[in-house]
Amino acid sequence: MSTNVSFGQGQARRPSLLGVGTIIWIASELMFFSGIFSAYFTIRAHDGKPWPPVADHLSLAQSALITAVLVVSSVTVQRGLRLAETGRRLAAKRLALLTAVLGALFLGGLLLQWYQAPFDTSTNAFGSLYYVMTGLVGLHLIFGIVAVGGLLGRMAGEGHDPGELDVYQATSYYWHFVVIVWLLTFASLFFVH
Amino acid sequence: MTAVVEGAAPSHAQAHGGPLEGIYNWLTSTDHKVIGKSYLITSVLLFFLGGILAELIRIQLVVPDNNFVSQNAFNEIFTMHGSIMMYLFAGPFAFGAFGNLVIPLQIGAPDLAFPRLNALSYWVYLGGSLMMLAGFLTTTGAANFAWVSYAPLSNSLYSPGAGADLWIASLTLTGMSAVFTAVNLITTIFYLRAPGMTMFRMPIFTWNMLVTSILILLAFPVLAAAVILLYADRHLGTGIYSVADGGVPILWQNLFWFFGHPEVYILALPFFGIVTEVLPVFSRKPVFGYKGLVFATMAIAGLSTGVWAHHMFATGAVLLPFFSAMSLLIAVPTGIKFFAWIGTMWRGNLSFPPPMVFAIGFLLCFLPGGLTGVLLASPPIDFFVNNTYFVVAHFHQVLFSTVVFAGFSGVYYWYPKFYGRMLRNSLGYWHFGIMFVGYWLTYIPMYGMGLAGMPRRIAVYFPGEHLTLFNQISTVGAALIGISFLFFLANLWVSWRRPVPAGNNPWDGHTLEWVATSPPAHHNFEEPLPPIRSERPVWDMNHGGIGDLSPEEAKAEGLR
Repeated sequence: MSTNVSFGQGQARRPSLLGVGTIIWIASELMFFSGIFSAYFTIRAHDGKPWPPVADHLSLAQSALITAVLVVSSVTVQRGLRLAETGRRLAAKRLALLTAVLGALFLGGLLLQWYQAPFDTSTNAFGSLYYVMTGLVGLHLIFGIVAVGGLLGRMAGEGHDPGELDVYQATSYYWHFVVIVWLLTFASLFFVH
Repeated sequence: MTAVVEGAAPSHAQAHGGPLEGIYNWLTSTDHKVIGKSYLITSVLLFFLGGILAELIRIQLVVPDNNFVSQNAFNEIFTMHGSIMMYLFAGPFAFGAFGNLVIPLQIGAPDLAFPRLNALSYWVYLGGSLMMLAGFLTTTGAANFAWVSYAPLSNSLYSPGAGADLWIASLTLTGMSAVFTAVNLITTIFYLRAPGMTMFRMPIFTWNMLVTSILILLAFPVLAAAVILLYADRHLGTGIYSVADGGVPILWQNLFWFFGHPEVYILALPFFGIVTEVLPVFSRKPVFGYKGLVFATMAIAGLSTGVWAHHMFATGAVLLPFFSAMSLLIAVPTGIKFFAWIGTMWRGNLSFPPPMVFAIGFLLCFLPGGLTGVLLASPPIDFFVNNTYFVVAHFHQVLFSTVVFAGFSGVYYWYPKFYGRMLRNSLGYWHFGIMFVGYWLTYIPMYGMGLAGMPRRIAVYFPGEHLTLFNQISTVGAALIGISFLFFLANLWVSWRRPVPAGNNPWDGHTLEWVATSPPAHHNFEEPLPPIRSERPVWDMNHGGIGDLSPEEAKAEGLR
């Protein structure tokens, strides 16, 4: 799966075969979330009442905080990829680990919010959509953390695994995608009135 | 699944000794040919299972007011017949079996881009298929809400059984498997083509699989989203499809048919591709209108994403003129394809071995199904025959002609390549002839039933409704279709017991798979590939063709 694309200091890499496959697969993930979002907006359009239901307001500050944590994780994985490409493996591994930790922090914050929410899945349509949408993003983020774990396993040795850069790159694509989907979810749930 | 093991393992067992080692090699293989054969055998076995269920439906309906099966069993039978045929047979038969087996060979690649993902894809498909069938083993029976699973019938109140949940899990898994295969095929076609194999020199089958794979990426994830929301409604207390909880039941229909209509073309385009491979070879001509066929395929794919609501005309909730016009438009690129197929045969040097006979049979059988599709795209007609056997006749004619006639054209065409031995022509003609007669007897009376008002999915009708004769003719036809496959099985048996070696190129084929050995070696090509100067490099090599080169260029290369 290695490619013959050469790269040097400061030169961005072209996507590897694995990277291209990952992008094509992410296209299917995009369609998956399109289905979920179309459910959200269909139900929103059918619901004549104020949206989200007044009694259901979640803590915007708390949600903004975990969103910020997730955005930072996107920066760390990108920086880590850059370091890996320029041969600084140890720092790259640390940033990958940091990315996973930030992802786990986000999940912790989300679970806390689930626990504190004054409604559950069956209270009303907003409650249903809130749990399903945040849950699906959380599930995808768990897959992302597993992928980072696989990447760290692949980078565990001293020597270069020839495929590890491709894996780092593919993992970063996926991670960014999940962060973007979360941003859209956050915006839909909190700012659509 | 022993049949799968026996069918897929022999080449390895022969190469490495003991049967245990053969099974181990089969379980762990990432070779696209081994996985493709596993897909082929699994999907055809599921086709036989779905066919047996269809015969049960026809037996139940052979006389009025019949009690051959209970009404509840009848619901399970038609649900599982549709689900098996649509989800477990037709798609995997197209992109799992033919896509896997043929694409790397046609573009001169050693394997797919991600061989291990390909293996995962097969095992997820097998697991998902067994999961759906496992519904029959539960106390409440298999899923029984039809293959379209409309809300609110599919909720936990009206369909409380585990069969429904197994159905949902199966769709999620087999959908993932399809997406994996699509990712694999697209990456392979973009990245692993042999030198000289430009996009417009790719065989039409490869083109159609590329476009099909893009449609898979568009359609299957939306189905996954729909069934995951359904599962949440059933078990997590949400009310996405429930009016009482603030949800919208018709959302299911929109999401489902946004998958469901592209799915029809996911099932059709690969088989259109097979026909487009077979007709030129047995006409001794290049394909007529190559680029027209490619753009027609793209146009069909594009239009297919904008027609889903023609399945929802009768809901009154969709914009009739738009979806009607889009649906009617699909007839245009399909007509271009028909024109190109006829143009390919026109004044060709025709020969009629079984693959060609099945391909021509496809043309004849597809036409009425396609034309009644044009009728149904018109809302006034659709309102009249909505939910009757007229619709059943239409989509069975379309799907049976593509998936079975064109699909088995592909089986007869490529079987010698992948198993190294010929099938018998005589048994192939018997298979074709009986199936062809059975096809018309089964489906044409269904138009009459529909116009006489017989609704779909009912277990009984009554004397005096003028439906008995139609149903009896249809059942005779279905029996003939079943009998025809005995000739196919006999053909397999004879070719297995008394092999006639196929040689590399028994049909004087045009495309690169015909320079590989039969069956192809582990990484496909042992000899250097011939130069690729057109969409039929092997014909150029064997007959001194100059491909796309001008006469001057050909002279410079010493070809003329």
